[in-house]
Amino acid sequence: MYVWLWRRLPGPWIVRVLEATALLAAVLALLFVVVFPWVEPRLPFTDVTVEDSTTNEQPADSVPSGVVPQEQNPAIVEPGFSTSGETLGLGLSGTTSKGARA
Amino acid sequence: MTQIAAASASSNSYRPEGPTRQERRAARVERVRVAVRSLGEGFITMGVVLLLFCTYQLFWTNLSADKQTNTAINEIKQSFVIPVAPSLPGQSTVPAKIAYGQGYGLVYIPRLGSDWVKPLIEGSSLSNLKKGLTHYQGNAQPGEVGNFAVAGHRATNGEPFRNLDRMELGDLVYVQTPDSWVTYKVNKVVIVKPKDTWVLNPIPTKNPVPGVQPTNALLTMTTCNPRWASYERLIVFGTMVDKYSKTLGAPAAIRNLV
Repeated sequence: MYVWLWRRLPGPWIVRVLEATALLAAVLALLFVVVFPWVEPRLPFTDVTVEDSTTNEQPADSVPSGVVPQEQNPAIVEPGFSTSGETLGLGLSGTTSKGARA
Repeated sequence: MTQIAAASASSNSYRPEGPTRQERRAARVERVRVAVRSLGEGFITMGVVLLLFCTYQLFWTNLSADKQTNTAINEIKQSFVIPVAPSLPGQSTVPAKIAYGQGYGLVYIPRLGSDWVKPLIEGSSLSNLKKGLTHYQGNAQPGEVGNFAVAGHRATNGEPFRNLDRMELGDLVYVQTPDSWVTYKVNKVVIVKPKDTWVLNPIPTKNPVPGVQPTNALLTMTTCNPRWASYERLIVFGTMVDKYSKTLGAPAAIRNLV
């Protein structure tokens, strides 16, 4: 595989060394910037919140409705707020539903 | 003699038509050799990539998170310079509107290190967790009646709660907000399942009594347990023991850090 790659790099050997280094740097950058950050949330090390879902795609900070039903104030529950911490009714009327992390 | 000549002649006449048996065998061996070598290179490459991932998790994420943490701490300290109206007893000590991802407080826990200070970020998403401790959006704010709940990484990404298991009953947690110093005292450490969201409730009990209203300002800190796994959560509870205006100065225990 690497021999095959080396044979296909153009130029004299010193140029090939530079090309191979650039190629290696590109692969490392791809791993550290794209691949590893994508893999990371799929591993258990980052699960530090208590939540009612098993995936990290859900907003980590959502307090599921029904956990504290007696606190629910229908007046402040707007569409999109139903699963946010708004249902705690703790006076944080200024918070928005941005909790739904993309 | 004629036999040899015949053999040599037949050999010469045969050669241009294709490789000999020995040559075909050598080519086959070479193909196997290339296949085995490629397989080996593939395995070595996978091993190197795994080692690189370990490097990423153990060093890279911490470097990147520490940078974000320091930036957030500086921004929060700058925001504290702006004077704000003091809050009322039992009320939130932070402005009503805090944007998701905004840093708005500093948390000091001497038990976790003599210079342990982390920013408090609104909303516990993974991107916010890289900056420091994250407040569960919708839960009570520091000093407010209810449950001030925060999450923090225990491994990788700055790992602010790396040693949260060392917290002891009676340990103090100091929270600096735009207008106040709020002190919580640890009164319970439990390990729960990841779905036990009751720990975030204003009255964090497994079986809440209906109709009972919260009267105390409580603290809940969550992180993963065991450190490198995720099948449990380590929960440290506290209750507010002190809250006073920022103008009176930092608590003595952490005055050198402020």
